[in-house]
Amino acid sequence: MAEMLSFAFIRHALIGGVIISVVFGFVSFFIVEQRLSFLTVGIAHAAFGGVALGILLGLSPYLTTVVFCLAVALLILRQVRKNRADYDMITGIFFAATMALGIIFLSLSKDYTFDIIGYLFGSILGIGSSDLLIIAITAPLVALFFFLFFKELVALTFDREVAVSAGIPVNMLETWMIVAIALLIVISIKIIGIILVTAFLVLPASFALKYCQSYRSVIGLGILFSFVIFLVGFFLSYHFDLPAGATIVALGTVLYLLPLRRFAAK
Amino acid sequence: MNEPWIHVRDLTVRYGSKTVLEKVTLDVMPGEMVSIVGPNGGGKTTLLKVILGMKDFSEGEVRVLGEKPGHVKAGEVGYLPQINRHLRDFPIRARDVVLMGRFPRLGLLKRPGPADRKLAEECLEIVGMSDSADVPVQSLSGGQVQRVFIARALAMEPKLLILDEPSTGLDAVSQEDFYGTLRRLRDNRGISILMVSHDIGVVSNYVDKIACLNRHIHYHGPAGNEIPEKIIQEVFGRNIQILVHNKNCVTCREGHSNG
Repeated sequence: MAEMLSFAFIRHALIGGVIISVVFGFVSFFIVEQRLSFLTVGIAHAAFGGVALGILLGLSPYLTTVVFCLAVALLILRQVRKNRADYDMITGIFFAATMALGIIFLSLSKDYTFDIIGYLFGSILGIGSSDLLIIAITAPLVALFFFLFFKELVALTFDREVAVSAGIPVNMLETWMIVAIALLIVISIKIIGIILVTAFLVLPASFALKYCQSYRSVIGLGILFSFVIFLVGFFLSYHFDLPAGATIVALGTVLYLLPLRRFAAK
Repeated sequence: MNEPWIHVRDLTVRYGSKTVLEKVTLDVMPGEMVSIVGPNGGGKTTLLKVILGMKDFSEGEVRVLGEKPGHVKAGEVGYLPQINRHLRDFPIRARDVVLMGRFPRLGLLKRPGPADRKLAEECLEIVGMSDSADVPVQSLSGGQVQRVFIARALAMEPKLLILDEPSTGLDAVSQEDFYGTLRRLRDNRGISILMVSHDIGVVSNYVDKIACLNRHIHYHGPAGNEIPEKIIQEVFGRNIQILVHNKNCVTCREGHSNG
């Protein structure tokens, strides 16, 4: 343990991961209840296009990924509103399109040293102090948004039409919520990976919904779940020399599937 | 004379080439209880959504509490949509649903306080759901959920209550009870109520005015009067069997298939 913590990159990953997992646990409830799981898949995969664009243009992949993911998230939202479609359909289109663009960008740049697998499945070793700084600033801001507008977000999640009719600024809040989710996804891709990040956004609330009867307790248990699977998964991956993101997601899925209800207090 | 709280003049709504509402004119005065009846697809929900500012319209004039639809002050219009099944996996207790009704009036960044909680309790009391305050809404029956949602709308302290088929899922006895509750609210608080309903029979015992809507408003008049048979045929006409429980309306009849 002490030996493990003596590595700077382990400390970075641990601190960054704990911050992110707590925010994931909080936000997860809104994603699950608003049926946005697939949207998060779409935004995460847009990051692939963003990273590839960065490599093609020789810019910081962080910068291009943030811009690319936000643009795709807002474009999906706009198409959903304009066509009165659901997220499922529009995301299905952009999900494939952004991956296609990513591959085109990569083939144009011909940079074969680029660590694709690292971005797809996360590379916890790659968390530098600047990555940690970005996480430590952005994640609390995302959490702050959900905290400040908590009651409005609950109201619009529960019953969008009634929230609109009552004069709650639903469209504005929804736009910012999607921006916040996109930012959260972008900053966690290095740790968890493009493909795995959705599991982290969906599992906490899905797990908690099996056991809780109020939304506050779903959020509370979701945060705890997210925190525990990150820490336990992280240590397991270190101990057995497994990829961290994959270990965390596998652990979370096993916990989700366990029939714990039998032991839960009524 | 007072200004009407809902004022609709020559409203026309089209979806593509299909005209859903045509030259619809309707007024709801302060403290008035009005029901819109008509067949499915007759544009009832569309009319409500235009009034609520959720749908654009092609032509005409619409004013709600003197404002354009959708520009009414937060919390002045309480709305109860048709029963929405997807809500049922949202873990929330009845009292917290009602408390949500306070959010629009509180405004952004403010949390509900003891006074809001007390008001929410009172609203549950009005709809007769106090005993179920701590029950998760998922485990309530359809009719009970409707009552909780009415309580939520009341917690906003609205001037205007708009209800879309509020009696769906209620049995005959609960329906009478439910409309009675609405009527008392109107009497005690002076709010206006506009609702959409299938059942002209029961509704006409409680409301002040009935409007028959099938693309056009075919009739707009006091509820006690007999609605001319010709209008009933025009509105419900083709192949629609209507069951009527009240002699003030129409005799039980089957529509003609002359469409």
